[in-house]
Amino acid sequence: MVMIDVVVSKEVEDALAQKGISADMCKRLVYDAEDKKTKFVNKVTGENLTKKIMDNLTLYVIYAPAAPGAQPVTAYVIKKVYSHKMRMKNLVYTMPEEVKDWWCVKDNCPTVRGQYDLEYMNVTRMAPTLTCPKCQDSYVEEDIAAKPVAVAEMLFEKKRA
Amino acid sequence: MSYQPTVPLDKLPSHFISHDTESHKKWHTGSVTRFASPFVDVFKDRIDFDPIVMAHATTLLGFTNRDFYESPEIAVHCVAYFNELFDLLPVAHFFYSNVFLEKYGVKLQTTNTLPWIAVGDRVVKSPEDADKLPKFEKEDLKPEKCKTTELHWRAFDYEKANIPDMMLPMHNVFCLFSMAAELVGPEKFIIWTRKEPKACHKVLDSLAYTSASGASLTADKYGFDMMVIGSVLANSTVLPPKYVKEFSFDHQRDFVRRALAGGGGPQLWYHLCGDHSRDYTMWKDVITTPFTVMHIGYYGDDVFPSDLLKKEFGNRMSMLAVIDGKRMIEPNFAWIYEQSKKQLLGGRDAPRGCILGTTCETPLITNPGCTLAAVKACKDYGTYGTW
Repeated sequence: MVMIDVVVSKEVEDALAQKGISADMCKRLVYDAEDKKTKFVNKVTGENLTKKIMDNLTLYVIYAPAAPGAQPVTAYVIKKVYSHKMRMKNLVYTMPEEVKDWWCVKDNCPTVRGQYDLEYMNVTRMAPTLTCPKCQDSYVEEDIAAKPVAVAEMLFEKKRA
Repeated sequence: MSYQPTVPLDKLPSHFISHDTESHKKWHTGSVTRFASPFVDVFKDRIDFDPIVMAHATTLLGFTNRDFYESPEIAVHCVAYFNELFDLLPVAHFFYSNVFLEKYGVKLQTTNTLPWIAVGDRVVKSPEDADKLPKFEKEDLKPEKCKTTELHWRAFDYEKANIPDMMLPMHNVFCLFSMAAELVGPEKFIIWTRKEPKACHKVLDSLAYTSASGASLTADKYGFDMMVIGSVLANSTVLPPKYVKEFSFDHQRDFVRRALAGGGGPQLWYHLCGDHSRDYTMWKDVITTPFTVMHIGYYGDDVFPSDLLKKEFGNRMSMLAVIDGKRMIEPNFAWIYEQSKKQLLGGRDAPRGCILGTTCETPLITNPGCTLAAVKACKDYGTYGTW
């Protein structure tokens, strides 16, 4: 385990509390991502993105070095946390020519646009993802989780209740 | 040519039956469940028929073509009434082609039989003109500065005030390639794809950016908007597949990702009008959200076969099987019924849902007997699955 500090602002902590997610869980997610290199890093902004798939939720944490440019990094700040309830099922295809700013740290390569099957309440539908072309690890971006996926979850709950 | 609405707009709601009536509520409740079926896998009685009705709704109901395009209040109330009349979709809609072109200096006008068409000189006369094309931001597209937004928001605001149960905020991208052709001139733009590809991309980049700004602006106001993205002039008859990809598909992907990031969507409706017999496979790789419909008009001169649509797209998105829109004007109801039957049987067990529709907008002079024939076929053969 690497020795780093993870800072959670009051604003983020309040937002987490509303979702019933503990700050400690997010911190552990960052420790784990740094330890195992299971993260994407944005080469333009310097932000990191990692995720944890739980029983009924996929949790994403966006975090960045507390002191940009300083080496080694001894502290990170959690900037955003988001989630979706649709379960990630399988990668359907990727668009190799659509290269993104996010890089897979484990494979040291840029991610590409992917399309992933997500499942919720026995309904399977696709959503766009950031995908590593090598390990195929895939992340739903914040705007996709916040709108199309969230609306789908709400509609499925309503119509299939 | 001056225009006056057939009915003064302040008196329009009084010409229609209130949506508070029990009979409307009963129809609407059932229709909503049917409409949602392809997206939530809870299958109602039958597959829906969507004839993509536009000015036909106004003319059939005693209004005019220009009422549809110039009085969006009349348009949406007529579409809502038409849909209930034929037991179609539980939503009204308003959209047209050639959106946002007036921001680029294009003069648009309607006639007694045509939608908003470009008239006068082309705006982009040389590749240098393409370099100067602006990309409009949300601020530039507010209704007081933009006729396209003004017309669409009038429709949505009228729906919200008078027929809220059938309100559907929409953003029509139309076909970026077709609109670029309106700016440059169709023949010239097609030649430019070979001789001046950089200029083509400049024009398309500008249109995609502006359209994404428009989608985001409407979503800001109404919370969401269903986005209709077309490839109409960019089809297999006009362009080789690699050109369809470069000059239509790639710019559409750019638009969709940008618009989703700006809050547009979440529903995406891909409308591939015209012949896509040589380029349809690339469209499997469009960006999709959980609410995505694929609609392809023709395979050569024939309608795009629903069994092929199901095979290629059925595991990726919902699909719209089609009947030939241009035959909707004929007094041959049996032919429409038989083609509807064939297309329904080919597509009804699509894994992610199926809707029946027309190849493109149902014509202004559609024969109402044909609309009824397609609905009857849906009732007789539009069961979900092969059961």
